[in-house]
Amino acid sequence: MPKMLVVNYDKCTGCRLCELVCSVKHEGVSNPSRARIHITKWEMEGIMMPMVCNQCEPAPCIDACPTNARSWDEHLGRVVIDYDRCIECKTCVAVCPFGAVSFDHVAGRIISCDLCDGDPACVNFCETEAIQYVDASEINKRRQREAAEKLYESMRKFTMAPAG
Amino acid sequence: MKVIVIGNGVAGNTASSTIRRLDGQAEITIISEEIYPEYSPCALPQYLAGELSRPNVFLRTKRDYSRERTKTIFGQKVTSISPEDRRVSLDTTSLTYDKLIIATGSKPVMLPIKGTNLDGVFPLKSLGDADQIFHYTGNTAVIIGSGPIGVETSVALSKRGLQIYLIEVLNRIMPRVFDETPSSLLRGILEERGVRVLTGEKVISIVGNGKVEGIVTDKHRIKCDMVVLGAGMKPNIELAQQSGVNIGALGGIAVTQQMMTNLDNIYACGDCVETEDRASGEHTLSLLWHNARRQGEVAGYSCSGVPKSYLGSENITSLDIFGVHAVSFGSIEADGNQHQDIEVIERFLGKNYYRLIIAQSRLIGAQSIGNAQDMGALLCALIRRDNLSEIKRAIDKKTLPLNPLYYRIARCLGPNIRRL
Ligand SMILES: Cc1cc2nc3c(=O)[nH]c(=O)nc-3n(C[C@H](O)[C@H](O)[C@H](O)COP(=O)(O)OP(=O)(O)OC[C@H]3O[C@@H](n4cnc5c(N)ncnc54)[C@H](O)[C@@H]3O)c2cc1C
Repeated sequence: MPKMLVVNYDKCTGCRLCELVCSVKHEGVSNPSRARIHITKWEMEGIMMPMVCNQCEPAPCIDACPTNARSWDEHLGRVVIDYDRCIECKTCVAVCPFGAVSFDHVAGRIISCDLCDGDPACVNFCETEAIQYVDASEINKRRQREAAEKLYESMRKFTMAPAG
Repeated sequence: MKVIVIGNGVAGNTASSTIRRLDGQAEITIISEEIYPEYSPCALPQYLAGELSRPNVFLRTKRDYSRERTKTIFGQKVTSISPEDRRVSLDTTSLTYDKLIIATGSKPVMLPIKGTNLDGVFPLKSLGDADQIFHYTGNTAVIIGSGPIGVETSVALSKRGLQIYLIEVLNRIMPRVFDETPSSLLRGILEERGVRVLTGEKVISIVGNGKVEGIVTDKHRIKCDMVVLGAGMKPNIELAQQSGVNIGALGGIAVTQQMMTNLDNIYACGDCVETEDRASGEHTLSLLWHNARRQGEVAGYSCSGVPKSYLGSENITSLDIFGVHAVSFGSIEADGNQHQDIEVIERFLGKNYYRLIIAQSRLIGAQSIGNAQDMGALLCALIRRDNLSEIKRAIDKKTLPLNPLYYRIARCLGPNIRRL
């Protein structure tokens, strides 16, 4: 069974080590802006959120790609990109619901999580195990959704005044 | 089951592949008046710019068709359809079908001006057009019409070293895709790179002796060696219309959500049909790749007896203008319904610009220049027609981008809502 990344927001301390190791592994430099995972912080509320490709299936980015450059890799359960076909229209960047596809301005190409070909560096370096690499079972997918629900509830408290 | 697909674009090919997936026995034939296997028209500007090699424009090889056991008839035009005896006539032969899929796409809008027949005047729709532009020599090109294709062509030819004049009859570029502020930001980027942008200016004629020598507008005379017509595309419906297929009010083939036409066993999909806009619920001619593909998929399902519904078109424009990312979703303020109270939220954040169009507490459009990584979550809210009063409060409180609430919206909606 393919595996998936699961993020546990409660455990993330916002240390950003994942961003560093991701850029080192893929681009050979320590530069968070070139990472494929990003920590979104709401400092005041203490919310830390690692944002990374959800490897959606079906995926909006694949659906919208006008040159079939993005496709689904059954074997690893991930979205892959064919740079020979990519025209850098960045439609994938614009339609990703998670903001998890980006354009690397240094290398001049679209990047998103490739699960490090099955051995994700961010998981290996995450000290609090906020990011885990687990079987893509229905149970784990549900757990992922529930984590998001919980996060939403905690955010509501901060962002929304009671109705009326 | 004998299936004939007229059209070898993304709609026709997706329909054909979908049928093959569902039915190993179907006899499928794709007919195209063009001679090439499937390619992406969206890649043509990058081919013109010299950024993408010609072979990479193609999405399939002849072998891919035979592997799928799909017959092809390329280089022949379908001249008529007779629904009574389920037959299509081509230039030199005729064929019968059990099911017919019309995926004849779109064609360039021709301007009612003199001189469009001169040597050196090209539309940009097909690979054949792109090849001609690519090999045409000259120093100066005029692009008439500033829709996304006109702008992309200007960028591409400018990268190849040509002096470009981009001419738009309305008062801003990409007038149907961007409102005033983002449009003028984009104009600035083009001008910075040497593209001469002329708006509020109407081309009256193209002049030359056999070959283009210049154009005349209501304000200027401009010398040039080449003219690219970028006045937009319209559904290619003549064949369908002549066969008794109903045409909708906007000029596209009228179809049900299952991509069925009014005639038995005849389906239609892609740029040639008109559909409903998923966000506004209004009728639309979308003429966009992702919509054509999904329509093709639904047509394929329907043809194979598996009823699926097309949920509507999504108006998504995304283009790169000299390295700057420009995005527009849904409606713009300028085409907003007069009866609605339209509210606009505008933000400049560093080099990035965001604009949200809101009507009756719903997001009906969003535009961005620069970073677009938050746009996808907004697209979900737009398509879902979510009530934004809560979200708006959060927007007021926090700044874009990176508002986790957006992500949360997206996460709870999931990507599946965007599918058929
Ligand atoms: C330069 C350019 C850039 C674009 N960029 C983008 C972009 O970035 N994003 C996006 O979403 N969209 C873009 N589009 C639009 C997109 O390409 C179209 O929406 C899409 O290709 C439509 O596919 P289709 O299969 O419906 O039709 P088409 O691609 O138009 O295919 C129609 C097919 O029908 C055949 N045909 C027509 N009539 C007959 C006949 N009588 N007999 C036989 N064959 C016939 C044609 O030969 C052709 O094979 C762009 C278009 C162009 C031209």
